[in-house]
Amino acid sequence: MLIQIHNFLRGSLQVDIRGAAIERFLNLCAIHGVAFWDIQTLDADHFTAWVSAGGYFALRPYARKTGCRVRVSRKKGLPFAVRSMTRRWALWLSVLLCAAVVFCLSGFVWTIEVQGCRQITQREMLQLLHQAGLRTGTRRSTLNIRELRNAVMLQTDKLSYFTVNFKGTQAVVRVWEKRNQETKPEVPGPCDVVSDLTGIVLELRVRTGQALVKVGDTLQAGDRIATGVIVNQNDETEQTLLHAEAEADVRTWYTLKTVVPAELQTLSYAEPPEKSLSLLLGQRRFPLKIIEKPALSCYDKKIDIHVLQLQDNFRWPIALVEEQTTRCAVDPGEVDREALAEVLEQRMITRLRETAPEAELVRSSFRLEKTSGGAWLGVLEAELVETTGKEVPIG
Amino acid sequence: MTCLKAQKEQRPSLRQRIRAAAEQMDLPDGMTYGQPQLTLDGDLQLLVERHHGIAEYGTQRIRIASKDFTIEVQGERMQLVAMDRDSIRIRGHIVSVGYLYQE
Repeated sequence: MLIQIHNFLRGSLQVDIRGAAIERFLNLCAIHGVAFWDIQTLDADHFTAWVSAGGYFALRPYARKTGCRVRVSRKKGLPFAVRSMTRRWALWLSVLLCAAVVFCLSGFVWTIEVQGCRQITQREMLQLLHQAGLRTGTRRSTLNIRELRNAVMLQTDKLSYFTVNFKGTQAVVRVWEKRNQETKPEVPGPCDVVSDLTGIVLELRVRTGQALVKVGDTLQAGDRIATGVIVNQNDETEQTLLHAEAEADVRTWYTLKTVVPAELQTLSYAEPPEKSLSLLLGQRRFPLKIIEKPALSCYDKKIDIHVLQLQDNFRWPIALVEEQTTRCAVDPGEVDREALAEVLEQRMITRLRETAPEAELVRSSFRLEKTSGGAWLGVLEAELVETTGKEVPIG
Repeated sequence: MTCLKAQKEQRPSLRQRIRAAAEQMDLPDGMTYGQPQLTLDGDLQLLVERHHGIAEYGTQRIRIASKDFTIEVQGERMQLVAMDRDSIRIRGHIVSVGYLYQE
């Protein structure tokens, strides 16, 4: 294999040798360092052999000396391939043009990736970067990262720091957000703490002030948990006003209901998908096939975007957009009770968790029943443990 | 006169003495004496190193010159795969390899 690569790189020729003293010719060539390979006998005075491109010029004196006639029958290898291509100026011009285009395009930012967002969204961050000058198509050499950072940091108070690293044509923005500062007291002066939930007190933590409830008591929304009014036991007329700090873990109950219509609609795909291609240059989209078609009333569309890229980090602002549109029909279907119950229960638990994200779900029960109208009614009863304690001014 | 000649004939030549010394020292012949080295790969390929050129070339018989003798390779569909100053590689169905000494 290595020999074949070596022969390809240096170029090799198949020569046709005719003469009466071919053995002598071969010996002379071998003595003088001209190597042959794949020597084939066609006749007693007729041979073919492969020789290197450089060796061909060296063997001609020995051919004359031994009276052999040497003709080139085939050429193979890189030097001959390059020589045949030198006349193809259009090819070389296009290669040069491509190289120039690639070189020019690689100096711009074509994709921006934002990492580390929690409170601030990627969209917000991209908008801030856009306003500060970092956008798709910005020339990299014109960007001053320090100025960009200052401009963005002045626009928002959510960020602690961010870095911009360029990887090929991609700008990777790593964001560090400010940590949540300690919550300032809701009421600056003396206050009481009230409950905003209804339930049974499981645990009570009073840091400042005097507790008004005890574990096991039932709380209604608005009931006071602790007060900031401290009465002197010796002199009841003497009161001290404090900023009360307290919280209580409360057992609460919730009932969620969801109604699902009895009739179910299912989509059926009767026809194979219709494909359409378009070219995306920057933000502009050019359809590759313009065919006017009637609007579909019900369809499913899948869009694949194939971005032109050399590597992951070298992406160009050119993409091929492939759309697959499938015409579909709406058919009535039947509800599978077990599947519906499972899906509804999961969705309602998720909704409950979104309503009270910090609460602990102790137990839950779900039932699915049919209403008088024929619809399905899903009922979720859940028991939670939540923390309550809201500061309100005294009085 | 005849006695001297007989003594001279009995006396080993320098070449023979070198060869004998190489044998005693377990040195390969080719290293000291320029003898060809033949590497036969089954009956498919023969590599001849330290050759002195091709004496005859055909598909059924190839003769290769060496220092003291001629190597005769007989077979079928034989082909010279590669040849340079130091080695000759023959491929084909090799039937026999023999040595021809000049009288």
